[in-house]
Amino acid sequence: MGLNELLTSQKPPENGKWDLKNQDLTKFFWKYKGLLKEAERNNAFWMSTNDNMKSAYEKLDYQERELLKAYNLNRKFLDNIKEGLLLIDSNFMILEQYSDFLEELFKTKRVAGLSILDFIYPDKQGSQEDRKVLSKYLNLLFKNTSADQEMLSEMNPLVEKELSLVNLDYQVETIIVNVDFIRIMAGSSVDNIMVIFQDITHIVKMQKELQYEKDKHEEELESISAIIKAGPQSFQGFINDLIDVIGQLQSFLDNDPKKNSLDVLFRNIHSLKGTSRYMNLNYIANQSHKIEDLLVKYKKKTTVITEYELKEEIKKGIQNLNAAVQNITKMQEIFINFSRSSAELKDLNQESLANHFLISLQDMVADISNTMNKEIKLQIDNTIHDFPYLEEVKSPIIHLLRNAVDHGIEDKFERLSHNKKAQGHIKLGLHQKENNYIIEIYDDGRGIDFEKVKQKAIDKKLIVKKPEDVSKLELLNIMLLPDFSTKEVVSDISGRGYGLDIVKDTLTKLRGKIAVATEMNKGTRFTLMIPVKQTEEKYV
Amino acid sequence: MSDEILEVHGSLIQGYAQACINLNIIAGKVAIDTFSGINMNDWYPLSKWTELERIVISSYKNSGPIMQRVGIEMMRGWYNYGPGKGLIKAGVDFLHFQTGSKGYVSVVKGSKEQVGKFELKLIVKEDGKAIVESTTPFNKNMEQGVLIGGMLAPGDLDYVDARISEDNTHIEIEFH
Repeated sequence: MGLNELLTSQKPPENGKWDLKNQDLTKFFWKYKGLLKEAERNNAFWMSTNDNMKSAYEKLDYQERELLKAYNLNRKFLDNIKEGLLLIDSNFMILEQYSDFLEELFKTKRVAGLSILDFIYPDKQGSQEDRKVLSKYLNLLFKNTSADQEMLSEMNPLVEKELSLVNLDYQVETIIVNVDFIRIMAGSSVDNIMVIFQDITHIVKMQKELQYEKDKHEEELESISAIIKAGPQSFQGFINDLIDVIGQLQSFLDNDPKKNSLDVLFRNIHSLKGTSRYMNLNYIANQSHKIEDLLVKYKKKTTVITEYELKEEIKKGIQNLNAAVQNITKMQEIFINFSRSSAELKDLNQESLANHFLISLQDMVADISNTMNKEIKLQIDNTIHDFPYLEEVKSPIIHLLRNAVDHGIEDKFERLSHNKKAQGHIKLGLHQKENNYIIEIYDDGRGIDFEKVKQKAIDKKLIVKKPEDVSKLELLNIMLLPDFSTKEVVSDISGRGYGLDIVKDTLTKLRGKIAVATEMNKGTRFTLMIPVKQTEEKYV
Repeated sequence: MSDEILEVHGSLIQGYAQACINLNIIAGKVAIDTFSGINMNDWYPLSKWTELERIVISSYKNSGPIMQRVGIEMMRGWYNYGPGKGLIKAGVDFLHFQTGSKGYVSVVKGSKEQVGKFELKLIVKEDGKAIVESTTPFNKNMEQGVLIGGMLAPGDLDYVDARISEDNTHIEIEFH
């Protein structure tokens, strides 16, 4: 058997019949050595590979431990951070890892796997619009990578957002959150969005409380300032008026009022607003203005809200005014207690009270003219030493002055175009002439536009005869009717049409008279005449 | 020293890449990223080759046996799937081929200094001994594998071994 035959056979030859030459043995030797060498090389290769695998496993093990460490750290962070963190994918689905605080904030265990729209707005029907806006915003974040960051922040629909959620006891709770959206990029596209919820419910509540405290404090300061400005006696009068108005408002709510009594209510609340504004009791003035608005809506029936809702709003206004009464009464008591020890305040007489009032009118005119960007000088001339009807005429004077500033005096451009000085001029005179006290309020403004008055009177169907037959005197009388104003826009200062009605009403009570002189572009003069001696059946 | 840049032929790089992939030394995305864009007929700077060598060497604590195996695998592919079979008939032919003008020097381009030597210095067929002088910039273990793989490929030799001299300039070959 030759070597090749031998090597390819299944077993060695029987009986030891080897037929191998020396050359065969040499080849067999090298073949064997060659196999050994190959095995040696393979062994070295696999040893190196094995070493490599070992170090690769070690590396993997190390990386796994590092990963676990990072995961635990991340988990610890997510478990303890007092912010709600979650990740969403491009289908707006919430991924597995999120901070525990989210469960606490949203009072739910269901977070991962939900759409963020369902998570934030579980009430699909009730929050359709909110869901639409958020969905649109998320689409923008995912798809428009070139959108400006500042613009995106401005468009964020979840800034100081109030969210309603049902807690684990099935009760509805409200939270206020700020939500940030951070894009996580993969190359040039957005892979995920990190959503960060910050619970600001407490902060907003605190801010509201602080604002309430601030408003209260300002209200108190306003009350002190008003007491000082008006004097304790007049201030008490103001409180009484305020209580009266509240009573009238309450009656209005209790009974369906007839037009006349509604007019009286308008007049009184308008008067209250004017006096409050004069006293710088802005809170009360603002509340009065709001109630006036509501009454106008009620009267004209020009509102989409129901009568019930209107009355509810008025009820809130009454509550606010009641709270204001309590507040200012308390402040008045404190002030009176304080002033008892002040000799100066004890000695206040009618004349000093009058002077006090007249001086404070300067501030009022300055305030209003500043608001209206007008330049106005108020000149006051008082020769009455002991005016007994000071309290009664305060409101008419305030209204006439406010009307003069608002309606009478033009803005400086209009004045200059009529060759007038930029600065308007108002004169207030208080004199006694024989048996009458005379109060004159003159302004060098645009005068009464009778055509406008006539047109308004026609619009309001207050003229029954032919318009060309209506005299100026008749038009002046129409102007004194409640609810008549030529102003299209009602402002905080005037426009309701109740100012002149208040004047007329007061003069009627005092058995006085009103005279009006006016000329276009020259000015207007209101003269109020009040008899010195009132008869027995004087107003009550 | 010449300013000329030493270049390596794309076929050598392809051979190397294929050997690494066959041996699962590098795989998957790394293999695609490493070898994509290599054209068989282009020339590449030596730095490209060095970078590819480094990828393998840096992955192993003992890279010698690996590089040797890469060399053997390269020649197995060259002989069985490339032009090898048509160029050599016996193991000893490979020694002459590789050290001749169509061998090593045909796959590198540059100055003489940069290319280095890959020359058959001695061959005694009766004793099965040969010495190749190698001053090339290539990994010596890989060259060792190239010589072993190339000589074993035709199948007429039962034993081939190659040892690198201590000064790293010569490879002593024993073949039977």
